[in-house]
Amino acid sequence: MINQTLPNPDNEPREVFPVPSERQMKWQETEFYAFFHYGMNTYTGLEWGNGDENNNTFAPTQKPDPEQWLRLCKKGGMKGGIAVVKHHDGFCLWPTETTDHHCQNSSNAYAKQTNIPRDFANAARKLDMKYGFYISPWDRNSAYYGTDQYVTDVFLRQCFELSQYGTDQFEMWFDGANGGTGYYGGAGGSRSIDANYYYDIPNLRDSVHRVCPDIILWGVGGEARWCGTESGYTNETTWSMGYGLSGNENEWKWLPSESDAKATSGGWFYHDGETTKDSETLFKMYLETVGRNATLILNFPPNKAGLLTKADSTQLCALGQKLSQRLGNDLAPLADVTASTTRSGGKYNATCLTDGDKNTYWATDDGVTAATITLTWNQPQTVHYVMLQEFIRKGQRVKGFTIETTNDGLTWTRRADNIQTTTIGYKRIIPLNGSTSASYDSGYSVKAMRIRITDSRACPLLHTISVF
Amino acid sequence: MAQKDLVLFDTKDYEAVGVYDAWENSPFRDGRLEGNAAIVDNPYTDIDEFLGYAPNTSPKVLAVQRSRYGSNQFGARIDLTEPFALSPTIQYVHVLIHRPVGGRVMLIGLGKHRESEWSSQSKETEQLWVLSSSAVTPGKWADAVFAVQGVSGVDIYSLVVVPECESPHDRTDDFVAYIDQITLSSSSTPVVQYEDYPTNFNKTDTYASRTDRGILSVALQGVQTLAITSSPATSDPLYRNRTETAFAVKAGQSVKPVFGYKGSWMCGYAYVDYGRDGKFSFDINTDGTPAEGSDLVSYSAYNQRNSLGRQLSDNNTLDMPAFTVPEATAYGFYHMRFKVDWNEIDPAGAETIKDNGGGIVDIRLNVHPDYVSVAEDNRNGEILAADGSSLPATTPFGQSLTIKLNPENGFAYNGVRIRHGYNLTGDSLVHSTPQYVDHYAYRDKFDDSNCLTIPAEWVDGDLMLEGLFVEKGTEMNFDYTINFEEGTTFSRTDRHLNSVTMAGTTASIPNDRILYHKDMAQTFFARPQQSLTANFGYTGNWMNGYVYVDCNRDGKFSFDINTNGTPAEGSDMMAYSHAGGKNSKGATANGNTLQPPAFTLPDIADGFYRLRFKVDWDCLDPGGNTSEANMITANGGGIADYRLRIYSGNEVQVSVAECQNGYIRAMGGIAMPATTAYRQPLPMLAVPFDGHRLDTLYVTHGDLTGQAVVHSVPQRLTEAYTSQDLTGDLLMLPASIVDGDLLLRATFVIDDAEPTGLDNSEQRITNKPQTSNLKPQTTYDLQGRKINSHSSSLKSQFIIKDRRIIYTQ
Repeated sequence: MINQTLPNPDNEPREVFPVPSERQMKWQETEFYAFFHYGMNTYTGLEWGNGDENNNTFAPTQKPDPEQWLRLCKKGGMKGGIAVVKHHDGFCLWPTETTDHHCQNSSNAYAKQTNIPRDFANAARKLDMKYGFYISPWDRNSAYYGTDQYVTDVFLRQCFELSQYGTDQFEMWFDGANGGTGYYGGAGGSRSIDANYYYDIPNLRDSVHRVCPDIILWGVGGEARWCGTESGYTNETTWSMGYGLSGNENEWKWLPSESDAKATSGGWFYHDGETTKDSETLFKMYLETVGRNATLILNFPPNKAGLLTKADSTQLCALGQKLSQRLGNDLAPLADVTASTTRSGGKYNATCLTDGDKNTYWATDDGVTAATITLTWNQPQTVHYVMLQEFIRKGQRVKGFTIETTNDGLTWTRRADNIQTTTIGYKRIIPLNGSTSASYDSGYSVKAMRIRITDSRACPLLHTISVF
Repeated sequence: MAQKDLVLFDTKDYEAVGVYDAWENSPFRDGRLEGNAAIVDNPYTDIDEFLGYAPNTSPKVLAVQRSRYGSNQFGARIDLTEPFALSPTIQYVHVLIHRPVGGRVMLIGLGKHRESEWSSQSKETEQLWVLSSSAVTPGKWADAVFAVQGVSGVDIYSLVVVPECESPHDRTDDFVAYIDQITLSSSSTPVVQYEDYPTNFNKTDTYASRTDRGILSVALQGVQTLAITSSPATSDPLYRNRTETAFAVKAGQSVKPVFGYKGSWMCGYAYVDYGRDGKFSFDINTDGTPAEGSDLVSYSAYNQRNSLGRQLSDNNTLDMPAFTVPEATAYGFYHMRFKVDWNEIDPAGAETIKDNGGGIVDIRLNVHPDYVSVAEDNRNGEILAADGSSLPATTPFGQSLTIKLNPENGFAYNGVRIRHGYNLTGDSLVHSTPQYVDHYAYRDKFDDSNCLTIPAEWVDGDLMLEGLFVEKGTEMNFDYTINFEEGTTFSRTDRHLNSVTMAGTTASIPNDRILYHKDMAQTFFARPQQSLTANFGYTGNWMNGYVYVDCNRDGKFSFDINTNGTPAEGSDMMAYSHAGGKNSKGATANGNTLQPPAFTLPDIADGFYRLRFKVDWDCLDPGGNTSEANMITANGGGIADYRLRIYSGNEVQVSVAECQNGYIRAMGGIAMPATTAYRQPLPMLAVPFDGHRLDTLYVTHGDLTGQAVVHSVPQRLTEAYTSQDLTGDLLMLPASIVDGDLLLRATFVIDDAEPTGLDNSEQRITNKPQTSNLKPQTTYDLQGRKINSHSSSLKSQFIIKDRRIIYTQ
């Protein structure tokens, strides 16, 4: 063996693997974004079209307006959106060269003007929002589906065409539904594929990343995972490794959780008569996803006019107000913050927790997996939420913590003890009253707050503590 | 099986070797560190003790320094001289690896599409990341097997073997891993394996994580069902070795494996190790059907196909197709595995098997003939058919067989050893799979004709019978057995049986954590048809009390009860507090009831009987509960055996068999033989002739006429007294030994002791007697009349031989 050493003048903690890639970090920081299910199904009333729908059925009553979609969602506190541009029916919302089954082959005048990828990308750039596209790998229209030719001549080409609409896309969404009955160019019947290899994901990923380096390929793409439910929550314990609602701290691969949920009462696509969930419900979803180390992709289906409804607008605006009111005024920078133990090296003081810089962090020495951070205010503050963020570039670590408050400096009361205060990850938001459905009550008057880290895979690294 | 050597390292059959780290910020990618990988002499060429051969004698191997500065995807990079093509059909890369640490190993493949439109693609494109299909034994040469798959058109130019796919953040030192013999094969079976039928998790300490899913039973439909659990719990082991169970089938038979399962969205897999090599191969054809020679015999879903190759709409099914046991299968026991998993044919289990609520159950498959062979192996006796004819050479499979033991003259038998199964003269375990079992049936299981019926479940293969013939008089004792070794202890400290009380007698039991206590000198007394109540002194709760009396004195306790819970006619079961929700009165009983109801003894003859008290849980068996869930030892129960004296009379006979240099009389000068009250203290006079003293007085008491011992129960006992037990010449025999007729033998010897110096008319005894047995309860005059009642405040006096002797308290 040879002696290998790396200089470490700042006593920088070593990574606890797996760690996120740079593009996974950027994706994670998007946090909350919209899903827009729009397409042929909007006009057929189906959720899964068979693939034999007539192009002319796609008949917007006016030109679809992706800018309206994104503008309203930005008011709702979102940082981006994913537009469905091809669902399982194979109908493409841009003039693709891979098939005639696309919007501009409809006889409808507005359809002929429709190019959702183009308009959606332009709107996102204008609004300074992130954007990406949903493209269904399963294509019930294509005669080639199930053959190698479909992957090379249809699916990969479609992905490549979409990448041409902007190299700054942040996510490409691949649905997990793969195979079954369909039109298949008129052949009909059922076709199945082995998703383990069929879509040639390693090379799709390589190709797409060469054009769009920040794209996360969701689902079968293997860079972010489905959280395991479409109900707008994930488990209180959520690791960014593994699968499902909780993940697994022992998995070898970084695979952060995304929660896809519907803001409306029915399906993913617009259907007459369906309603929009109220903003309090949506805020609860936010707490139970973004506040539990997942991202939230919240679906608002454009209607037949290619617009979000007035009800959508109302609830989105109300949600934005709630997010701003409840999680917009951070009291932590006003506090004196101390830690029971701090890593040597001079860069890891507790003040890093409230300096607003995501690249500085508080840490303990190696082997120290428990510590207490105390925030003290000169005057009592009314508090409702605590937000914690790990410096996950060096791996997700924290396995247990508690939150206590005091209003006299003597008597400490544990808050939210009905909640599993286990993992933190990229972001954890704890409603101090222990309720996500009625989290914003009169709050607690506190003079000081203690966050005890009780267990960690290695020395804990936190870059931010916020108190609202 | 197709196989291609990729790199063997003995010659330069590789393009280059080095290190690779998939982590984008690795110091090995930006030049801050250089890796250390080189071809070296193979340091591990010795014969492996477990295998019996050297698994790798190759002269050259690749050594790589696992750096603590690398990520969990850091490993040895081998650039191939010729790329190999991925294909939609799974191929298996085998890598021999020797490393000092445990944990997962991984294979990363670097390569590119070969088509012209991909010409600009880099050969460095990561095409696959695969964990080894099974755990890899550390500290030995082990075969790590990686399933690789991809679209047509992709070539792999480099392989990266990750010797430790764990985070190195706690690692303070590096280590060297050795890599060799990288081959590409169509077979998934490891060529080297240090554990039989491995799993991808620790078999002994991995437990279920879900209660909404779990295996309830495994079965071969129409053959047998093995219950696993009725309610999945997080304490359930993920792996269950139930190879004590064998499902019996015949070669050529079509059978359908079935799971009882709580939950859904899981798949079922069944394997049979027909090659009996300690591992399950699981190769399948491209259409999903098991490959020729594959041990994967049936599965419900894998990549939306089942083992018939039938296309499925999804993987959500546990419905496994039937499979046919090959016609040519030799008779014997085969290791069989049932696995619930999600879309994973690896018999060792998917990485997610625990989180998904899967599990593994191993049993045996008994491929049997219609008739099994019967052989005997005996000396000093023979084994015959029940009718005394010669033992048959064969007997029907799965049917009971009655045999008869016939010892030679001068010999008896203790029982018979019954070896049943296959390969009866070979190893009993073949790759951890039992091939045969020895059962011992002892004499107490034989009938009066020396016949024993071997139960049908033991006729599960060939039979080899060995009579346990012994010289007469040396036979084993099988009286009043318990279901455990007699010295069996238990570890619980919160529960123990302290005492038992019945009919005014209490027997204390030491708290020594020994399950079984026996004291044949401790006697309880009762009369025929007497009503009795037993009381258990017990520390603990939620246990039950049981009382048995061997009324027919046959050396065992029967414990039959009627359907209403009351003891059956002739049963030795006297009383119990709880079994099957009832007590011995037939009343509904709570499981937390210790004290049994009163009972009435049958009208049994005078004599000494075996009496058993037992504290146990819901178990009538006098030998103790042996069930896995409620074993008496685990529950802190206890068993105590004593004698029960049944006597219907009021008086007993006292007689003297032998007396020299003195005389023995009852108080009052009554000559022997005489009668005295049953179970009353008996003052006796042991009067030496002048110049003599009592040497020993033997008192034999009980039933003096019949057998001294009936099935280990003494019918009479003998006590010995010396002059030190006398008060003057008085010996007070305690009531407890006046339990039947008394027979006395006395020996007086010449007294050469120094004179005491007291006058002859009155001798004060100031020392307390050594045993409380000698405390007089009453005083008598020389005529045997009671003088007054004894109390602790009074002195007692005796007038003996015209001398007044005062006994002081």
